Amino acid sequence: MERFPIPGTFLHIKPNTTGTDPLLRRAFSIFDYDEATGVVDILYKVAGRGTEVLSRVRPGETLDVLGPLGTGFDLPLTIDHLVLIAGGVGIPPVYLLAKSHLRQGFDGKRISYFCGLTMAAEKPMADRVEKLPINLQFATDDGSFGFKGFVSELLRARLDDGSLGTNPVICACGPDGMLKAVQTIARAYGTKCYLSLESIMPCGVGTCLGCVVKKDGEEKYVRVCREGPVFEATEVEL
Amino acid sequence: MTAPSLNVTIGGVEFKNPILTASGTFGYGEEFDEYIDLSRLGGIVTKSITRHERKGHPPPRTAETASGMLNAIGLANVGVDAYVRDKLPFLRNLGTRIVVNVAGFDTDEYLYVIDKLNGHDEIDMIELNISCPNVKGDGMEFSSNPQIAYDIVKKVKGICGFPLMPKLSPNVADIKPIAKACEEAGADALALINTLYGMAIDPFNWRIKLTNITGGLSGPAIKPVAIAAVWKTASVVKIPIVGIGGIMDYRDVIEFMLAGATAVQFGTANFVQPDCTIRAIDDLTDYLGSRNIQDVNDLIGKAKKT
Ligand SMILES: Cc1cc2nc3c(=O)[nH]c(=O)nc-3n(C[C@H](O)[C@H](O)[C@H](O)COP(=O)(O)OP(=O)(O)OC[C@H]3O[C@@H](n4cnc5c(N)ncnc54)[C@H](O)[C@@H]3O)c2cc1C
Ligand SMILES: Cc1cc2nc3c(=O)[nH]c(=O)nc-3n(C[C@H](O)[C@H](O)[C@H](O)COP(=O)(O)O)c2cc1C
Ligand code: FES
Repeated sequence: MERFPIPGTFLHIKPNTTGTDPLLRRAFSIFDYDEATGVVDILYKVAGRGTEVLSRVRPGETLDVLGPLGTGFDLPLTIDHLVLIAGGVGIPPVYLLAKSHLRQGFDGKRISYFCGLTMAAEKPMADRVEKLPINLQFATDDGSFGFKGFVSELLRARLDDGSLGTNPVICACGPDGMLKAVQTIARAYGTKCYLSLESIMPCGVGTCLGCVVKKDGEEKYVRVCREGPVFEATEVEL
Repeated sequence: MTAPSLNVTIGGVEFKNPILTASGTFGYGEEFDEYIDLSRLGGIVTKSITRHERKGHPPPRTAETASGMLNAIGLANVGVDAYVRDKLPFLRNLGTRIVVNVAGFDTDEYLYVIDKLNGHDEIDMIELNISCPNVKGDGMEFSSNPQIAYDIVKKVKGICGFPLMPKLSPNVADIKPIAKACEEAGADALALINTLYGMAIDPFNWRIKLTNITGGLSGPAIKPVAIAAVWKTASVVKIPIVGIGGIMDYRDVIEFMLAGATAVQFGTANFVQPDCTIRAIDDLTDYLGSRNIQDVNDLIGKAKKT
């Protein structure tokens, strides 16, 4: 890729080079970008047939990739404190957001990153996050590493102890349950919050109307692939 | 040698090639503008429109299955007024044929929508989606019964200012009487097939994959069903047939034409490869050239029995 991608945008990747099973592309957030080489990385977990086939692709093989697609994060550098929350393989969009802000001169002391994992064994996923000069804290479900409990509870604790400045902006990506909890907390604290959503995406470009999520308070659906995947937390009903 | 001719004529309308996009898989055309040169297409069939805006079914609306996918979008669309106001202007002067797919849940709705479209000269043809449940009748699809299909096509034809192409459902015991009924009612062409009923359940969490329970199956998995439907229909009607179902590339186009189709529509393939139609046009041209076939019409119905 020629330019630093907008954090939160995604690639639509065909896992197989030939054949019709799997048939459709799969969506992956852009994880990392190397400005020297133009190389783009994704970070993914095997969830089913598509990602399983993808995991068998060998170095040097060519993949069919469409993108970057979607509407990513659009956050000015003037915000007071950037609070990033990632659950499991939700790391990529918020990692790239931290990297993008740092690159534009945003002070790492004003970035807090809460990384939620099921257990310590998953920690290698966060290797690159650990290298960023930001405030990084872990939470594990089993307490085997860092804060014991959900990453949303860690967020609540930090909002309560005032360590996130006076006017933080929250950006989160992860499983639905986590996003729902973050959405509830942001609402309760009146904190501005953006969520990067996942959904099953047959086309990725806005034509099939398969990927929709419900708009909050309205009998309307919006496309996650086009209007999203990043939404303001007040916009959508999870 | 001159380049082979790809022109086909359906219901008196000339298409520059037999490759169209299928309703519901190409939005209103706009979304693909940045990926392909729309003017190269034979035609664009737009998403089904109804009298009023429809939000569609709650998600999840799709599930992938072996070489196919299920969808229960629920005919989500902007409604005919917004279609005419916001979507038609983009479709004007694209340099390709515009086929507008119309859906309805009772006869009045079809007539209402057609009436609103009449007079808009950017439209070249109407594709009538008669695979919707007839809410005022017995809840059966309009296209599941020859008499019901005849009545609706006859009434619509009476007021429709464009060539009319009913789109048939494969969810019937025998498609032939339905096709014949549409022809007798005045249809100018037939499009087939729409999606097949299907359902999928996750074996690990026991959940039905679609909120709507059942959905429509599309993609390569349904191609043999569609080929047989085209073949059978071609044996009983004289009007042109537009073949749909699992078409991925030029070889599938040829297969449908050999079975009796005059043109085809690409559906699910657009999701896999946004430029699938353009590639197929190029590959079809090469295929005809390499075999010294001067006219694509020479393929229609030429399948040989073994
Ligand atoms: C914008 C976006 C960005 C994404 N970024 C990443 C990423 O960076 N890393 C990563 O590992 N994954 C990411 N995903 C999720 C990834 O697309 C799915 O894991 C993948 O499509 C699963 O395909 P599969 O064939 O392996 O599994 P399938 O067999 O298709 O599905 C396995 C299970 O997951 C469910 N499922 C399938 N697709 C999705 C989906 N998109 N969202 C939620 N549940 C789903 C299915 O219903 C099923 O229960 C992203 C999804 C979106 C929409
Ligand atoms: C997501 C999706 C939405 C569709 N929406 C419509 C629709 O609104 N109206 C209609 O007549 N057919 C609709 N179809 C059916 C297609 O036009 C086509 O008949 C069917 O998918 C079979 O072709 P394919 O296998 O090439 O996809 C839809 C299909 C899909 C996959
Ligand atoms: S994935 Fe098709 S509209 Fe979003």
